Amino acid sequence: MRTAPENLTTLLAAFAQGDRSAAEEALPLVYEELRRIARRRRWQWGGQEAPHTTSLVHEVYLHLSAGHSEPWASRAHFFHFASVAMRNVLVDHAKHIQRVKRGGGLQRVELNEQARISEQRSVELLALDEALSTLGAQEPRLLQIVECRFFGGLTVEETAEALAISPASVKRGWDTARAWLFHHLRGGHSDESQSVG
Amino acid sequence: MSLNRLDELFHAARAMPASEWRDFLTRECRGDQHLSATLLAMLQTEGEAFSWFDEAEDSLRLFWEKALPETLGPYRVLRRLGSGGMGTVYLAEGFGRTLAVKCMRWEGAELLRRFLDERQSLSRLDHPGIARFLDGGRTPAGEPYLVMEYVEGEPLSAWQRSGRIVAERVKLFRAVAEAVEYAHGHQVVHGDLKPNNVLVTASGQPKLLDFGVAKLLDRQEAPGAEARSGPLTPAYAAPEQMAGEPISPLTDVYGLGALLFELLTERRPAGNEQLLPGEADAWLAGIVGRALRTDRAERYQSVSAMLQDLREWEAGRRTLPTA
Repeated sequence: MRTAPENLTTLLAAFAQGDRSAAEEALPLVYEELRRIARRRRWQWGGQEAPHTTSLVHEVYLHLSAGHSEPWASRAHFFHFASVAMRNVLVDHAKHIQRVKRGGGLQRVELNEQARISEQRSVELLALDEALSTLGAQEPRLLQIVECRFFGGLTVEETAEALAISPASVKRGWDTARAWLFHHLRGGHSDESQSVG
Repeated sequence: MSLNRLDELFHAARAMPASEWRDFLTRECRGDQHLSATLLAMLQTEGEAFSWFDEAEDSLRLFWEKALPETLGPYRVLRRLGSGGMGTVYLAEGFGRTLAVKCMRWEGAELLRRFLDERQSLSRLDHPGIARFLDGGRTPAGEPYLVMEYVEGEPLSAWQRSGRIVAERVKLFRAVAEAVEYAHGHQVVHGDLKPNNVLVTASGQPKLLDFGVAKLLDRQEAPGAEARSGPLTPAYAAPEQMAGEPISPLTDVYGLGALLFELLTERRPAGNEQLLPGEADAWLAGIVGRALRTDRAERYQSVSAMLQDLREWEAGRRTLPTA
């Protein structure tokens, strides 16, 4: 990851300007770093404990920025950026679980309790991800708040800093988003073509 | 659609008593029934939504554990299969197949050196009764891992409990012994034969797991307490192993004796315990007894010799009355 920060600096700057495709482009760099750190921790913990997502984002940031005397990227922007990466990692994983299940890779294995829970979680996560995309298409700000709070595990204050909005707006938006997503997931109508505004 | 408006209306309504929501929404949504219905539902289920998210956040954290550390070299870790005295086994996939990856708990230069030495001979083992050794590497933390064929089957300990007749048990045991005989022919000793290291597939094929692993972990430089906390299971380990001596093919003869003992009696052998009268006929009891001798010189000197006696019994030439 020695050369990554240079690249990331440019991409993060573009991301900060609202260019979400920059995030897509830079994701593999963060993604690898997330894996590396989580993997190391998992070995340390023997897989017994799950890392808390907030500290994972912090650790990734600290690692990537280490050795750079000048701030190579805004910490705030990085937090949102890493949260998006986390969402992708988790959704990928959930899709993978579904693929394995469909592909019959585990068909003859009697699924144990843990595997069934994983499988159930992956279904929920994919549904939530889809609902979130619907929400994001209509209200990008609420999407960002959910990414930071839920996937990135950021606090209200960190989210406010990352998105350059007030903590009060974060709290409000987070409430609205949760109520909307929950309603949506429970089968509430969300016909996008229908004008409701 | 503006969710900004949704956000505004949601928060404006929240500040009011529930009895006023309907009127407020009817007025503000100006005939947009979809919006007012959505908002009303959101307001009514708000508490439920928040607790749902609290739970979702908790499960997300647990999900992380599985989501992130998903690769080991070229292998993708699917889930954890279990942990044992010597490490953790993961179900993984790579090169289009499903595999078992065993990460060993111990590290150190000595283990790594042995591991590299042993890898070659392990990879030569190709027998239907042996879970194939496929590859090995090191985790980012430096711990060695072994990649093996993933076997779907039930442990011998469970298999033997489901009402098998003696002939069936002996037949399965013979298949296990033949796999060990094959490995000995390739200069590989198992060293840790026990019911949990034998899986029986749906077609009735026994598969031996962890071939050669005991030798890898047979650390002569660390005898005593640390060695005893290792993978050895006292009921199945040969006396010389318990004494910290190096393992040999005769170690496996002892291990096979212990396996046969348990297959016939469904209890673990304690020390060099003999079969009780009525537990097996004298010939089989004799085979078990000879394999379980404390003194190596008195044991069968090879698995082949043990197999020979077993085949005699199977051919019906040695069906003696119960001891």
